[in-house]
Amino acid sequence: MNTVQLAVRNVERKRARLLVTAGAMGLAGAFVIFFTCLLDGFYGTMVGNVVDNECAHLQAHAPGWRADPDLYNVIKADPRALDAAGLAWAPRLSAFGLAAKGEASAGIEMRGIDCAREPRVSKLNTRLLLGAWLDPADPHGVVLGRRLAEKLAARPGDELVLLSQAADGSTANELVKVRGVLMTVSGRTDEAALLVTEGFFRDFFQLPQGWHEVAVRLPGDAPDLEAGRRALQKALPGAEVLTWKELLPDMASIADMEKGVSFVFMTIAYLAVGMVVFNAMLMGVFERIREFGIMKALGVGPGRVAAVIAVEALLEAGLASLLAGALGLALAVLLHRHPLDLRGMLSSSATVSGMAFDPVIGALITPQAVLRPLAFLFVLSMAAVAYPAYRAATLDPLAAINHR
Amino acid sequence: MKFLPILALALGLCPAAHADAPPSQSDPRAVALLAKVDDLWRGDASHTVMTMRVKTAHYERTLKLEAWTKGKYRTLVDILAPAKDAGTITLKNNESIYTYLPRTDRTIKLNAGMMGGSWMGSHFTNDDLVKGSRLSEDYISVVSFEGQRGGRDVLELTLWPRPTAAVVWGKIVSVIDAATDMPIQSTYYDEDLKLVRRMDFGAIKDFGQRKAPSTLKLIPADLPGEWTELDYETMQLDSAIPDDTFSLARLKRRGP
Repeated sequence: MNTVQLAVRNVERKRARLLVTAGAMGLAGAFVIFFTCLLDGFYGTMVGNVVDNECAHLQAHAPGWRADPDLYNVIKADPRALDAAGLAWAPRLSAFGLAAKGEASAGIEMRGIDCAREPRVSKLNTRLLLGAWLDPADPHGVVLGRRLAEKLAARPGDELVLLSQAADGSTANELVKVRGVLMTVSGRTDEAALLVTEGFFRDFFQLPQGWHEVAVRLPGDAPDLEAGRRALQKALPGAEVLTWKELLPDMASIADMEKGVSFVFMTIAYLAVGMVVFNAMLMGVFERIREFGIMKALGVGPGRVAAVIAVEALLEAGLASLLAGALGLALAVLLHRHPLDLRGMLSSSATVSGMAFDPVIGALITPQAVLRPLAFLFVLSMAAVAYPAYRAATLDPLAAINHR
Repeated sequence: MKFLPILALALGLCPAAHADAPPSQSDPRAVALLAKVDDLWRGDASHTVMTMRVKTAHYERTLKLEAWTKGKYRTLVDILAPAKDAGTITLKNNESIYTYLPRTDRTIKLNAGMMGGSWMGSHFTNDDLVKGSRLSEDYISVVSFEGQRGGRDVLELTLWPRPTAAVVWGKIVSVIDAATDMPIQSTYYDEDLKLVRRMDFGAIKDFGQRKAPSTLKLIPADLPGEWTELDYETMQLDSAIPDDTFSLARLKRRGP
């Protein structure tokens, strides 16, 4: 009888122990798989919100513009070169001014939006609390940030006066109508953003060409930001290109911290699983000391005894993996299809580091999130069985047979 | 008129040699000179027509302005030309600034955040219009130099803000012609005593009731090659100007 047959028979003889051990390991593994998918989903939701709201994955500006947002400091290169690189991009314009409604007035950051391209890089056009999005057919219709609308007591349909200084030094002023009000997006947008169409912006500021910002969205859930940066720099030579992590370092820190928390939590979870496996293996050896003593008395060598125990552990780990994979994946799929909606628990829009966070958390299922815990179960089983196998292999046959 | 001194008195120049500690009290001679400078363009009321030329890295423009002032805190400036800006009126009433925009036929009040912004595309800020300070009252002043410069006798006054004064400058240095008591140049420093801008006064003109420099050239320190120049064409002091000239209701009218 070979080693594997011996191990299979041993396992079959102790079905109750097998079910308890593999069940405990499987449940622990399922929990790890589910929690990994949940944390990945939370992280993905957070990053997705940042990218979707307005930031996009990458932004290009003329050098120095971010430190000093000068109306004249524009990207002169034609961003249509990005089409050749296959990137989704949208150009933006930005300048400061004043908006007034009756006696109320507030400083604004007027942003000129390319209505056709903006939805390719952000979901800003869907983040409306009131009214409607910009429409190039209604150039005097504007969309306000939430806090700005509150400061001006402005609602869709209200009339505003805009005042600033045009590029030629003249006084830029115009009457506009509020088309929509954004829901919470980010601190900066909420406080001061007044969105207009590109055409209106250029007429208002007498700025016939150039862009202050080119936003790029990369394909996929976890895009290669550095490759995107290189493509953007190649298409817009001389422009300063920043990733969302550089644009929003606080948010990136939170995301990194979440990864750290996830690592610590997973380490604890794996250690707990390791204890379960180790305990099961140790007990499995100790309760069979006489059995191993007889095997050795019959001439079975220490190496084969250890191998039998190792194969038993592998069989248990295999069964546990099947259970962990099936249960963990089922729970993750359930959360993926029915995300946790925490909006009811929050009084208003949640924000993380000033950025709006839509608190609907689903699971993100990736091969890595499922296979890594399963692989770890096997590794853990082998590690946990090492000591019991050594004990069994080095038993004195006579003492083992007389063991009580 | 008040519009001119508000702009003029907001500016100055100071060499590094004067970066000493502020004195505790003013030199009476300096105070008397500053009072004279303060009153050069001031009367109970004034009516002025001037040209403003602006040169920046991005544009050059010329505006014709008509201005009325009354008391210390009321100013109305009407843009006469160019056509694009004509009819735009700025009203300063105490600490508030309103702008009437003929294109939209609306009047809006500038908020605090706009006070540091450019006035009509020039290097003057809205804040320059609001501040109605008198140098002789709001600053501790001393004569920091007396002698010849550029072939003429001058007095250099160094001004330090009084602790209780609501002023924006950390220090002002004014150079005054000793023979005529007319200002020649002022330089303005921020709270860190960093040079911010310079104002050159020139072309002494007899406006009938008094003589005063008719050109003021504002040169920002951080924008090489840029300047704003005011050229006073006419100035009538103490003319009868109705109070309601400075009312919001009258903003839509061009002038009083």
